Amino acid sequence: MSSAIDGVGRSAASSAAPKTPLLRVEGLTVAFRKDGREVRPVENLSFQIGHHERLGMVGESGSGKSLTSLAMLGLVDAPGLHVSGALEFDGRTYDLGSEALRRLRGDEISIIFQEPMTALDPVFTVGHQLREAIRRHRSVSRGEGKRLAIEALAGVGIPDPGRRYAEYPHQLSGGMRQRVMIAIAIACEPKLLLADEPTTALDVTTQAQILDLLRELNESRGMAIMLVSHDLGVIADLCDRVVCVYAGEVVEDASLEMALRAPSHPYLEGLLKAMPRVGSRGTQLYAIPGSVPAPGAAPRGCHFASRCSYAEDVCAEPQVLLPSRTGGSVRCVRHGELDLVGVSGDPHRSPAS
Amino acid sequence: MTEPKPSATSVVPAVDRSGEILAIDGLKVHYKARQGKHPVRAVDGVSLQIRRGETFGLIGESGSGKSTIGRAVMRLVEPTSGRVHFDGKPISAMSRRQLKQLRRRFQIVFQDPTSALDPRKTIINSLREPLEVQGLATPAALDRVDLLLSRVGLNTSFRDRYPHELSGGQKQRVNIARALVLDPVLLVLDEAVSALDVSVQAEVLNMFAALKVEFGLSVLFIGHDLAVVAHISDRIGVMYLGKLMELGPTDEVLDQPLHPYTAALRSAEPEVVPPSDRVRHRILLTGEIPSPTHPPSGCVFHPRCPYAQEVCSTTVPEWRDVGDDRWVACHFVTSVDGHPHPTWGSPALG
Repeated sequence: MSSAIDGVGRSAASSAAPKTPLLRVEGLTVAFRKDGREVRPVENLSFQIGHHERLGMVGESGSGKSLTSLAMLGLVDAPGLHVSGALEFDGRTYDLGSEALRRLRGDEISIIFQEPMTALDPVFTVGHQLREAIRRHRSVSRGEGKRLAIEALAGVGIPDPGRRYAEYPHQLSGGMRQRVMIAIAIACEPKLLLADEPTTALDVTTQAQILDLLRELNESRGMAIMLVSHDLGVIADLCDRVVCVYAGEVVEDASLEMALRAPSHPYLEGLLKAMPRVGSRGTQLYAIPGSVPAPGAAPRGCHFASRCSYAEDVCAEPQVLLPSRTGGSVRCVRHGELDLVGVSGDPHRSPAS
Repeated sequence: MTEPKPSATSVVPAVDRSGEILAIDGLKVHYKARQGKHPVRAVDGVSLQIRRGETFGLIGESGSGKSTIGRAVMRLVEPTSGRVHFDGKPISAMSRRQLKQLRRRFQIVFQDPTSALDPRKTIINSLREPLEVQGLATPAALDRVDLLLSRVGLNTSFRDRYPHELSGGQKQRVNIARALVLDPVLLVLDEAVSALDVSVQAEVLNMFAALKVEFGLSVLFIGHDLAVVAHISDRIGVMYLGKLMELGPTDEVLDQPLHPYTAALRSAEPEVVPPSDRVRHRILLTGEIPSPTHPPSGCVFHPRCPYAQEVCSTTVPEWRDVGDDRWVACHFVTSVDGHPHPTWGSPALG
C-alpha cells in the first residue's frame, strides 16, 4: 500500500501544486464581532486553482466553504463582517476588500448557485436575460444577441432552444433552469466558473447530466471549475483535486485519487468512512463523534482535535499546513505517523461480465 | 430467498418472513390539478408488501410518488383506489375513530426536523404530546419518555430546551423519539436523513438500525439517495412516475438490475471511488421526468429508455414475478437471468 502511495504520490504532486496557478487565494479571513469578541468563521485560508483545473472544495455545514467562495469574489457584504486577504488571478493581485474585484467577477470569473430560480429574474424571459448577459460583454445588436443566445442555449443542451428562448424561468424544470444559469455564466467566456452546490437541488439523473455538461465545458473551453459541495460523491464525479475544509481552515489538499484512496487528515478519513455505499448494508457506519464547532468555538490547537480519535497532546498546539505523503498538503502534525484508511473499488463487485 | 449477508459487524437481524405487516394493493392516489382537467397521477397502481421485521426501501426521484405512498400508508392522503392493510386490517376503509386507535401502531418521521416540532413547546412536552392525544399519559408512560430521550442519544439536559436551541441532527433525534413514544410496530421514514450532514446522517442511520432491533420495528424507508436507501434496506422498490419499476432484495437489485431505469439510476449515482479503480460507465438518460399530469402512454419510462421498442409506447408492461423474490415491470424481462440486452444487469454498463 505504501509503495503504491509513493508511486502515485510523485505524479500527483505536480498536479496538486501547479507552478503558475490561475487563481490563488492567500490568507482569506472573514471576521465579525460577537459579544465583544472577534469571531472568525474563515481564518487565514489559502488555496489555488490551476489553469483548466477542476477543483472541488468539500466540507459539511458550518465548515466555511460557501462563505469562502462568496468572500473570495467580494460577495460578502454584511454590516460588521470584515473580509481580508489577497486574491491573485492570472498574474494580477487584488485586495479582497476592493472594488477591482467586482470587475473581475462576471468578466473572468462567473458563479452559479444551488437554486437557479433565485438567480433568475422571474419577470423576464430566459432568452432576454441570456441575451443581455451576452450583450454586456460583446457589442452586438439585439438581433445578433438573440441568435447568440439561442446558440448558447443549444450549447448547454437545451432542446428546442428557439422555443425555450421565449419562456419564463417558472416554465422550466430545475435542471433546465440550471442549464440556463450555466449559459448565462459562461456568456462572458470566463476563465473560471465557481459552482456552489450546483446540483444539490436536482434529481440524481439530472445531476449526472449537469455534471457531464460542466466536464464537457471544462474540456472544450479550457475553463477552470471550482465546485463547492458538501457531497464527496459529486466532487469525486467531476474534480481532479480536492480541498477539504473544516472549521474555516483547509485541512487537506490532495489530488482526487489520493484524497479518496489515502486521505492524510483524520477528518477526511472520517467523512469517507461515514458515507453509506452500495455494499455497506448491514454494517455499522463510522460516525465522527461530536459536531462541527460553531464559529469561534473550535479548540485553540487543531480545530478537529476534540473529535479526532488520533488526537494526542501535540494536537493542542496550533496546526500549520504541511506537505503530505501523497503530494498535497495536510493540517495535521501527526499525519506522518497515521495510517489512515481510504476507499477503493469494491473487489467483490466484478466489472461487466 | 436470500438472507442478509453475514457480517462481523452486522446489525441486521434475521428477518422473520412469516407474515406481512403492511400490504399495499393496487394503490392509486390522484390529485386534482390546480388548473386543467387532468389529475396529477402521483401514485398510479402500486402493490407491495412489507414483511414483519424488515426494512423496505422505496427509492425514486422527485415526482415518482414515493412520498405519497408514505402518506397514503399513514392515511394522511386518501387513496383514489386500491387498499392498504396494516396487520391484516384495512386502513383505507376505517372510520376516524378506528383509525385513531390504530395510528399509535404506525408512525412517520419527515425530512425537515424543524417544521415537525412545535417551536413553543419544550422537547419534553413535544414528546409527551402523542401520549396525551391518545389518552395514554400514565406516570409509567411519561417515565418512558425520559428513557426514549436517552435512547436516541440526548441526555436529560435536553428535556426543557426548545427546538431552536437544538441542531438539525438533535431535532431529528427528538422526532424519532416522539415517533417511538406510542410503541409503534411500523415506522415510515420519509427522507428522514436527507437534510443531515454526512457524519450526522451516519449516526442517525446507525441508530435506526439499532432501534429497529430493540423495538421490533418494521420500517418503510423512503429516500432519493440510492446509497443511503441501499445501506439500510433489506429489500427495495424502485419507483418512476407513480409506478414501481422493480422490486427485490437490495443486493440483488443493485448488482443485477433488471429494469433499465434501475440500471440508469444506479449508474447516475456518483461513486466515491478513486478514478483509477472505476469500472463503471454511465448511462446518461436523455430528457427529464415527464409531468405526472400527462404520463407517457404504455411504459411510463419509454421516452427515456435506451432500449424502448414500439410495444413500449402502446402497452403498459405487466408487473411480473420473475422469481427469486423479484418483480419487474418491463416487456423484455421475463426471468431473472433473461436479459435481452447484454449491457443490462451489470453496474459496469456500456
